[in-house]
Amino acid sequence: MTFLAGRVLLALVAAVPQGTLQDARIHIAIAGGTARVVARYRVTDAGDSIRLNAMRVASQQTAFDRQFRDPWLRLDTLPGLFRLTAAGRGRAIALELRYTVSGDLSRIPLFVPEAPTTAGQSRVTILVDGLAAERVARFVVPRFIRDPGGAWRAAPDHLPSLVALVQPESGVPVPELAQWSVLLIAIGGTLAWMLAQLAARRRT
Amino acid sequence: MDAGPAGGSAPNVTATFFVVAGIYFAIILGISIWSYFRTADEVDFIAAGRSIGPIVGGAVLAATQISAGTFVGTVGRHYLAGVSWWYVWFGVWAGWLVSAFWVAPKLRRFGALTVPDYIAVRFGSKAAGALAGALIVISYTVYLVAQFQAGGEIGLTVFGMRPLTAMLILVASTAVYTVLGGVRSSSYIEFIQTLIMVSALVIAVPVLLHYAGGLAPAKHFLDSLDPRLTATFYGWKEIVAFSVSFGFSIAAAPYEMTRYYSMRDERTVRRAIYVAIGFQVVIGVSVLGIGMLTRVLFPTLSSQDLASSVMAFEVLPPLVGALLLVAMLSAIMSTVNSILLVVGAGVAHDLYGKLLRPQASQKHLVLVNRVSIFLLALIPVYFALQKYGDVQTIVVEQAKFIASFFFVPVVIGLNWRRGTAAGAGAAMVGGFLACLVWEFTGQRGFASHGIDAVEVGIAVSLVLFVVVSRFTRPVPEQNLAVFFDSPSDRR
Repeated sequence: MTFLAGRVLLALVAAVPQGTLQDARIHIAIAGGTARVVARYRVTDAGDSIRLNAMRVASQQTAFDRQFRDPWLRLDTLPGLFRLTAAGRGRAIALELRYTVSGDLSRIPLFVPEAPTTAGQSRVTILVDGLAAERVARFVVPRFIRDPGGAWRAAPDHLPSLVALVQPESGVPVPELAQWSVLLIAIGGTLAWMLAQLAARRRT
Repeated sequence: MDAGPAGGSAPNVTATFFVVAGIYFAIILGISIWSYFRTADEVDFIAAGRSIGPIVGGAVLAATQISAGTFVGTVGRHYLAGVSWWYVWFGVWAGWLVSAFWVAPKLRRFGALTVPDYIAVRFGSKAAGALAGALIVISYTVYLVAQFQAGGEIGLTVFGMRPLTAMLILVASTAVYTVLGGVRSSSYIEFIQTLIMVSALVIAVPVLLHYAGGLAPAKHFLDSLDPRLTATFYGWKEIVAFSVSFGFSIAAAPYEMTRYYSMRDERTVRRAIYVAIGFQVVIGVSVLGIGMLTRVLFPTLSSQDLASSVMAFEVLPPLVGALLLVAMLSAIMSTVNSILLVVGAGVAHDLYGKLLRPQASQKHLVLVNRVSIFLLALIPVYFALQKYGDVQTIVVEQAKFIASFFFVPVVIGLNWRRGTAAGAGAAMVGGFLACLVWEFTGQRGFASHGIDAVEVGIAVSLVLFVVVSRFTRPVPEQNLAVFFDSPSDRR
């Protein structure tokens, strides 16, 4: 009875199919105060068009190589967001974007297609080079590994909207503080518990 | 602390997680073994010897309520739908307040071991109690599916583990501490779990905000991405339906009510509910922030259920990420544990002990309870592997059914003397079936009429309860005495 009822209740919901980001290869070359981004995407089953969104960071300037005059590729500049709309030519859409970010590089925006990756089938790689070791932040997004050549490489399962690898020039080091606060809470909590136990023992 | 990238390698969340999880499981095991040697009879196992105070009790209620549905499902809903899902919390808290004023004190005063116990005594019918036990087992099997599915998602995202493997590890570890110490170990473990959950969530929000660039940039991004995220993704009819589902099911949730029985007295129960609401306000606000900020940082995930584990694994510093992952596991385990206690008691105490072998010894009943817990934990694994929908959808569906068959017999039954066994039976079966039938028929037209299955289920349940009770013989006075002891309660 449980088996049947469970099956009936769970059959009430169903997932919606979407296009898939098969491949995203991002290369970021950092030189002084600028980051040069070359991003290649391949999206399958996207339908007639695909939109890609990127953060617009107030403390940055973004210059695109392309003028976006082609009818199949449009760039909209919205509050807090760049939106690129690419018309599909066939079921798979392949796209290359080149742009340069200058100013605050602590968060380098990436265009993210509105088609998710699929576990085990999609590939996302982000390569960052030209970054001096002393400028690398202690905690980064996504998870990077330094390769023997000195470049930083990440292969996240999902494409993030930014790369946070460069140490911010100013501001509160929030991730560091968060990390320490975990230890403080653990130690403080243990001490509080021990004090409570001691007090209870004295009462009895 | 972990070596950062400047040290030459990325901080390793997985390794940190195993250290944090190792400490956590060692504490859990210690408490379980301590409780095992203090569990002598069924009252100890199911009601912790009725020794739990308001702070631990409040944390336990919060931990029981805060499940994978919150850490995976609700974060996912905020990721998908933005701010409007938050209004559903008001339904949850309204449900808690109804429970605090009209349900919990009377149930605690009654002092039974399980909710079907209450049904059987209040309505003077063992059959009504058994029916309640059976419906609880069915509905909570669905709830367990959501918990296991969330465990599978976390295992896959963080460790690349097969969902089945992750689920079986989850079942085994939870069942061990449930079986060892019953409610006593669960209560102390859930107190710790609530502290972990609240700490991890509160610490995570500023980190996400830091990477998103602050509140205003995040809001602008989300506004432009999809204006509904910061306004009304869900209309008021949907919000009402979700709130009714959660509120009405919380007011009469068997796995929460079972915990009332473990507390010292009626006053403790009420105070514990206020403490639980306090914890939930903090958790609710944090979960809202985490869901929406994860959408800023990872705008396109294949499933909203991935939001919390991707955020913990990819964005947070290793120790914070590991703590949050442990908190997520804690949330799943605490809910699975509570449900297993309820369904185990439903089988052993309400069905086996009351109907099949009333002469069974206390020791024998505890053994049957422990075996039932293990067996009942395995059934939902099959359904979780089918992945019928996202975690929160499954949680909402089970809440609809619990509300439809249980709200009226519990809440109205505790406050209206004239309710009879036939009325309660009709209300439970009628509410359940009405909700089920409407899901397959009228629910398709929800956009036009705005009537949800839960509203139909509760309405049908209420009408049947009142009408059938009016036409059937009243419950004997001795059954009602413990619930209606003051003149003001009289009709």
